Amino acid sequence: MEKEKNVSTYNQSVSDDSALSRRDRKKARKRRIKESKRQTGFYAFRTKDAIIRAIKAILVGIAVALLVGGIYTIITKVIPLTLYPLHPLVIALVFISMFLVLGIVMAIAFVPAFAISFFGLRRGDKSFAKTIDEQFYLKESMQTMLEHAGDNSEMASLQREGVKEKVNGLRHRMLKPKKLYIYIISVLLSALFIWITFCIPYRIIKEEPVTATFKLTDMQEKKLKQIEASVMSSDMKSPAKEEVAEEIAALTNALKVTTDFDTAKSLVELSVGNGSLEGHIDMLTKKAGTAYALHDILVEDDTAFVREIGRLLTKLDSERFKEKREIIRQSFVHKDFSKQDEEGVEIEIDMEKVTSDTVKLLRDNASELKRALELSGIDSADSLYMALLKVTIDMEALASELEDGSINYHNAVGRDEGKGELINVISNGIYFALDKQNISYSVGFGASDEIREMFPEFGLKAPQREDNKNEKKENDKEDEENDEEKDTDGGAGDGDVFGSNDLIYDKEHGQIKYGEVIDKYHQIMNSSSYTEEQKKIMQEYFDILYRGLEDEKGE
Amino acid sequence: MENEIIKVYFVGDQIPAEENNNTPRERVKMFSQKVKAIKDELKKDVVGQGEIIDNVIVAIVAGGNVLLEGVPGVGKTRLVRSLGRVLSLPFSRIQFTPDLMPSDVTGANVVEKDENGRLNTKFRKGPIFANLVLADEINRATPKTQSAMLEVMQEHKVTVGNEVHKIAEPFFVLATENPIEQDGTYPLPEAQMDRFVFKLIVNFPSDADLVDIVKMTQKTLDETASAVITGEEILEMRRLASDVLVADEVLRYAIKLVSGTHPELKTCAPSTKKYVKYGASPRAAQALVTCAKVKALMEGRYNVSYDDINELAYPVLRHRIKVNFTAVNDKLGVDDVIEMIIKETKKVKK
Repeated sequence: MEKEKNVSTYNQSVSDDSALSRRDRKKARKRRIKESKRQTGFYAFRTKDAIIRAIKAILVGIAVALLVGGIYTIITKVIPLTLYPLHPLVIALVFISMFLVLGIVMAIAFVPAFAISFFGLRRGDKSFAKTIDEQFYLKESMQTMLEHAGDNSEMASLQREGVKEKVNGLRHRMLKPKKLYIYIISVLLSALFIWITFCIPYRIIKEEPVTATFKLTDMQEKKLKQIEASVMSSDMKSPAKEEVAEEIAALTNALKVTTDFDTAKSLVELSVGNGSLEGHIDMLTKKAGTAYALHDILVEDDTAFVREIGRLLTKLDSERFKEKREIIRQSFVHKDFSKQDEEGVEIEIDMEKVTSDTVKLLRDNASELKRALELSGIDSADSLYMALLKVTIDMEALASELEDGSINYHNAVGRDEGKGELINVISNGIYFALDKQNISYSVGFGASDEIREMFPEFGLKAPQREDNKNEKKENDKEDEENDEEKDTDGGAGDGDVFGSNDLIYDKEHGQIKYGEVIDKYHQIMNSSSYTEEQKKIMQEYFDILYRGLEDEKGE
Repeated sequence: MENEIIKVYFVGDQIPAEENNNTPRERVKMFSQKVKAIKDELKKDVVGQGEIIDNVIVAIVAGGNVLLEGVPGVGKTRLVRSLGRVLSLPFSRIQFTPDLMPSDVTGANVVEKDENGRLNTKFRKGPIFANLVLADEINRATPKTQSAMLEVMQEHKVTVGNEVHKIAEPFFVLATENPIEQDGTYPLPEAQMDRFVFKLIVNFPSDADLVDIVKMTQKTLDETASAVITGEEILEMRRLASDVLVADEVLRYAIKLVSGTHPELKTCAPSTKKYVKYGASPRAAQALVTCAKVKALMEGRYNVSYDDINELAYPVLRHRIKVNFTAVNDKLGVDDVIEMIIKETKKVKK
């Protein structure tokens, strides 16, 4: 009777719909659908389904967490574990922290896996109704009911009643999770996986970590002494000179008692006042722009070591300057073509050729000098500028006279000799008048290289100049392109080996340090009964070896 | 009883509201009671054949024609005769023979003298003008005569000359045929076959049923089934059944099943490709869904299920599908092929 009442009530509400607006009809339809779902126990099934989904999502989460945990465990097993000192407490702490991390990793993996599964496994009403129909043999009643939930026909209301009756006869608890075994198997497989990973032994290193030992070699000590001596003999003013010398001496003493390579390295780095000289040197070089400016900056640096390097570079550059000046001077001095054979008979010379060569030489020099003057930036009113300009004019005039035969070669030489003194005077200025920027730049590079080359002396890797880095990159590209032409067998090493603690192969002892070998040879040389002449030859050999390696580095 | 007025409604006619004031539940209840009553009465004359009886009832309620196929003596004609009495409807029997003419079935215009002695043509109705027609041994008539059945079976009207004569509803043709005797028979045209909603195979009765048959016929050969349902009630049952709900997915499944019998379609079942020469017409899909609704209601449900479709697929499709030589060679009957198609369509469904 009550059921009949429900149906009639429902029909009553349906008939009322016709009087409603379209929007209200829609609302009423939605309300009916909701009511139908409630009456037929659809929501109750939904709740049960949510529980089942949650169970499945938990299983998925566990499986994923175990899987991720297993991967983490494998990683911890693959990476060697250094446990020193091997105190039980240390070991316990390490393992506790590892398991804590494992737990955190698994928890992190579980949460998204659970969330994705829970919401991913959610089915639409239709799909869920289909499941209910299949599980409870409802003969598609639930699906049909859902489809016609908003239907206002008599048959639809009867159908709803029918579904309600059927569902009331069912126990919602009987809603079985579909394919639950797959989830359980996944968890079991993941558990098996993590168990296997637990069985993999740790790569525990129980020995004391081997640290590289250091012993200041004779060569290194000698080099330091040289630097100290050069400082003392330099033009540096006191007390800076003494300070630098003391600092170098202190470094030498400290290195003598140091047995740990890392400590020695730190000491050297500290003594130069900068953990990484590369940046410092590059910064200074860039700031300087020219070799002279670099010298000035280096000698005024806060670090005594850098100041000393600046001084050494000044000295080095003055020598180079001398060489350069000589080359220039030579180009202005004529050559003596009057040659004699062994018996003193004068050799006949092709004077035409000599004349033409001289003309060419004079014009080339005049042209070069003129170009240098233009580029030098020297004021044209400057006396030096005027003198140099006159030289170029004279040289060109002389060349013209020689060429048109106004004068002969010997007359020209005589006139040239008269200018010898003038050439000597002005050759000093020519250096400054030449392409200043080019010279300064090359000298700047030289200075930078000198500093860099000192690094291997202390077992440090020489920092690479920024320009070289770029150059190297370009070269690498070219090498890749010309891969077939690449010679992999050649090369004399990188030059960092000399005097360092790098390992080399020794037939008797296997891997030994290069510095030790050199020291050993020195000791043998000094302690044995070689004659002074033999010792000198051997010393020269070592010097050549040392210089050769340095030249390679320079190249 | 004499004063009882039987109102006859045609398909599509709306029953006046005052005559349809029963609650839905009462109407459904009436439906079940009537079905039960029909079954009970038929069982008085026909022993066994429960499934055949059920399907015949389904077809009648759905408004379709039925073709009963079986060896002689299994009770085909008796079943239809009994049904004629149970339904309390005008019943006629046409014994199909090779010399039967179309006019013998549909009727013809005859010349008659009226009271004034003038000659007039008058249409004399043939035996087809009944609500329930038993077309016995239908395959013995010539194609010409069988063709005369096409219009009446589908449209429930007869056209003679320029006149169209409507046949009262409900109208059913229940035909029988003998699958063994082939001499002097004419295979039914496909168009006519398609007009039968079901083709039911009446099998030889079981031993137990045979015992009952023998015992029953020893007493009397009279058929005792009595009328329990009127034409109006059948139409009401049909209307009620047509309201039964079908879920979209179930409907799509029924259509997929029918279209799956067409080997020329890409979506057909693999067995169709292999064994079917040509598939069922769209009438099959209509028949399948309509009959499934009746079947669902007969089982006390208000919605059609997959099982309804699957069970009715055999009688609906077996005379509409033509198997090829491969099926014959593999010793597969139409029902075997239908079974395969159902299984393959189910897989697609899932």
